Amino acid sequence: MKDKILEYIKSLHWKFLFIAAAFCIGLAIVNNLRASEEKSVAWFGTQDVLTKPGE
Amino acid sequence: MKKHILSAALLLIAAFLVAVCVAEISFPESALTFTDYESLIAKFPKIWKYNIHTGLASLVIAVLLIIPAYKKDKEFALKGIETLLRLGIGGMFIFASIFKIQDPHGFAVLVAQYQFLPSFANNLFSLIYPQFEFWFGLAMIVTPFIRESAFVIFWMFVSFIIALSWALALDLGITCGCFELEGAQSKSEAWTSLIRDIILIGPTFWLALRPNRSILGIWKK
Repeated sequence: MKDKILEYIKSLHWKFLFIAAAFCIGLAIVNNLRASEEKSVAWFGTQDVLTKPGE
Repeated sequence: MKKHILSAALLLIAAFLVAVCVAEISFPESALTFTDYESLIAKFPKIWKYNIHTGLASLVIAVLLIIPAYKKDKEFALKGIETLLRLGIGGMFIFASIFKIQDPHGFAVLVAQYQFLPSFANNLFSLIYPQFEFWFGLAMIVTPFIRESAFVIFWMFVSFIIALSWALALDLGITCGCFELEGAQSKSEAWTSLIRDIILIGPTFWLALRPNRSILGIWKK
């Protein structure tokens, strides 16, 4: 089972995956830079946790 | 030829019923849903409460229709199922990502409600994740890299299931952040999103095992 999983992982096109991932990260940076102030976020950090409404 | 036509007809009806299932569970007031039709509510006043039941019943019927389609013409049915799944799951991820890409702040607010990631990572995650959804959803439809796109989308489903289960276990009141950007809401949407993701992870796993080829390549001899 382990061998089959390893064989599957090796069969994937990792070049495509890494290029696509880098492209996504690049676009995310561009998107945040281009977004308006109210829609963009700081690169690192979080937002407030809102109050849970009644059920 | 006749068996192709019959198999195709059964698969198209099954695809329609899967769309009804997704609509009833995820988009209760959309064009594809039945449980909020006024004429139906006039006859059965409480039917609007049964959208999940209607959705799941549609899914069961869809699966039951796929079985004869497969038995009638195995090769054609597999091609049809792969095509429909690639379009459906890829399209769903593209659609789901658009709102999040347009409003990174709104999505970051939603991600923060899960209280799952370390606080320094929430914003970065909210920026990058929707891009993965969009581009790997698109790759599933337009590129031959079905194994790789489905592999990534499979792990995205795993992350959604973990996050939703975490939110439900901790009784956090959240939307799933899947298709709309709102503040903290009731947890019933989290349950329906969890059901939807558990249903869809199976076909995604199957797609991740298919040979790499474009959608047009599926139909080439």
